[in-house]
Amino acid sequence: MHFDIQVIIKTIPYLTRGLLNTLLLAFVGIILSSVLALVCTPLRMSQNRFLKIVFSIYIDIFRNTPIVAQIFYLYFALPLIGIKVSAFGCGLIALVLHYNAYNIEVLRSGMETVPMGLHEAGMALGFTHIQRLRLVILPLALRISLPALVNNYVSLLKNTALVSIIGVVELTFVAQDVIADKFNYLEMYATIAVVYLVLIFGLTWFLREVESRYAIVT
Amino acid sequence: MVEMLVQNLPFLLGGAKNTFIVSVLGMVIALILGVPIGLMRLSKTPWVRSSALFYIEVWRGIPFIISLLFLYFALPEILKLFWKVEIGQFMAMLLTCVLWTSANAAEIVRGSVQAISFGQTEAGMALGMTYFQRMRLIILPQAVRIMLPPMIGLFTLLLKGTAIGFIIEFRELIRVGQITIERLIMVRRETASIEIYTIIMILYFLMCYPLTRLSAYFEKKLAKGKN
Amino acid sequence: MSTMIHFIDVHKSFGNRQVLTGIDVEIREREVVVIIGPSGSGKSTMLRCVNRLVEIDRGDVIIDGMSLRDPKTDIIKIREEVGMVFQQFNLFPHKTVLENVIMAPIYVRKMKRSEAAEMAEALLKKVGIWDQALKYPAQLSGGQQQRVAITRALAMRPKVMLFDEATSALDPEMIGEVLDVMKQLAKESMTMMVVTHEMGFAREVADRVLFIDGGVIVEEGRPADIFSNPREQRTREFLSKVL
Repeated sequence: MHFDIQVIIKTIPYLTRGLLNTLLLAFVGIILSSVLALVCTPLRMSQNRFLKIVFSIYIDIFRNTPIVAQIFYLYFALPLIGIKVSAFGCGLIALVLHYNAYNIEVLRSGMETVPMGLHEAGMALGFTHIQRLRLVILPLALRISLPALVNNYVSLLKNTALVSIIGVVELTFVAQDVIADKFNYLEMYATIAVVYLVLIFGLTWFLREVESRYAIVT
Repeated sequence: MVEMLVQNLPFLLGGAKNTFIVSVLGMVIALILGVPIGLMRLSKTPWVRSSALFYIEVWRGIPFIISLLFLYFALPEILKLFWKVEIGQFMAMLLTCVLWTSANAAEIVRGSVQAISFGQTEAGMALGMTYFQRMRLIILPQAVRIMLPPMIGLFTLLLKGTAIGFIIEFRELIRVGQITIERLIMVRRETASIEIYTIIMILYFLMCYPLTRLSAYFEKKLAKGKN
Repeated sequence: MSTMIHFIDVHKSFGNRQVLTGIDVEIREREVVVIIGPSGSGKSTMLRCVNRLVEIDRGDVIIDGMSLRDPKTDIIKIREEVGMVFQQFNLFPHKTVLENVIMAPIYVRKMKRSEAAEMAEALLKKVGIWDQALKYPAQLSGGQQQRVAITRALAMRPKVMLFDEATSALDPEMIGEVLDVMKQLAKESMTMMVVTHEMGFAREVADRVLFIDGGVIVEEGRPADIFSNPREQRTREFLSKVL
């Protein structure tokens, strides 16, 4: 067995390109899936039967099938309904749709934890339904849900590796590409394993800091 | 088209069977490993605690796909020095499942044990029980009830996680689906990607949805029991 | 003095439970009406009917000329004129004291932030908690939180203030500071509907006392009359238990 550091050093530029895409997917994915969840959760909880059913089906499908299957499915299905996106776009959409489903459930539970009294206070002060959601309920639900959301965000970062299967040039894809040429399995997989660990620790640390500042313990 | 799908269904179900088998096997072994590691994580002895922490952080932190690729491709390189071992697809798959799942199971065990009030441990100590007696008779029986919903959830995640096995050509559901698609293209000049992947999604859904509901059911029962 | 709140034959039930039956009351401008009665008698529900936190089944409530039952009435307009103080304070935990107070004036009355802040400062100073303005509710005592809650409601310049057992969740030593604020409000001629167990407050400040039991107004009158010479048997029983 040999471990050739030289090869790793030579591929750093390519690895960096992959790393940047991984980070891009992770951050944009986290932000989009969170914003989307903030919009969808009130809809999910509305009295409208149609909305409730649509969201139930969407959430059940995305939580009970593998991300891999969802990525492939969207890759083949999106062009059929006229949506032309790059592999990166497709991977991002898959990640966002998947984690939005999880975020909605988390946020919904957070919303249900907000005491009824705060709804009443908002109503008594004359806020409209949307104002109540925007100014009181959702900010509080977000803070209550923060620990569970953090778990989802870390999971999203880890699963960016999966979009390599449709050819997105992120970290895992780069590793496999280099291996296809140089067969240095050990060097490449060990290296990106370490990189992923560093990324996970970094993100977890950062999010725990945010959590300690903003999370509300009920 | 329907006739084509029906013809290939047994093959696809075979893939689902492999998915299920490797997941169940992986889960069982992972539980056997995960409980002691989870308890080690709570140990007062620093090196015991740190080793458990290291194990958990590494096998939870590294994405499943990376662990799988590493164990299937890179590990043999290292092992070649000592033994002439080949790690087959099933073994690599199983090994990855066990490592990943046991690390997560350990965390669930840790959380569940910590959720039990210290008073229970104190009562056991006052009655003169040893650590192992306390664990066996008081703590773990209670922890099992708390662990049940997240463990079912973990198994469901594992079932879904095995999907990436196609990348080392392990014959789980996705790989089997891809083979079917390629066959259909070669033999009948038909590209049936969407149809096959729809069936794959449905099969996964049928495997996972009952488990998700089961976990939710136990969660409700647990909440009621507390009140 | 015109009628500020008019309950007309108000009925309300929750499922099978009839909570309010045939409530007819007129509350005039600048009147302080104290509502007493046993738990579950419908007192809180009666308050919540005024700003439609609870929807009535039958009858109507007319607030400053606006009818609750009229489909053309904008409930927001009513809520702008009706301030409410809750037993559990219900301050927004993620906002500072100052932000709690200026939120509604800004978003509901469409005031400019600087205007609202000025007004809030004056109100908070009057109530004596201006020095806590930048703190979060969790950092304040119960009495302080409730005073902030009162200020929050007053910041909307309401015509009516509703108090739902405002001191029931407070430790005894803090009840006084909140009652003082309420007494001051009464002195300044605010129209008030107060549900409370604090009989001393009722005697001192109320223009009228309503005794409610089983969802019905059993007796009403001046505090002196109700407390010294209750006419109804039920009133006498209740008062003997609490006084």
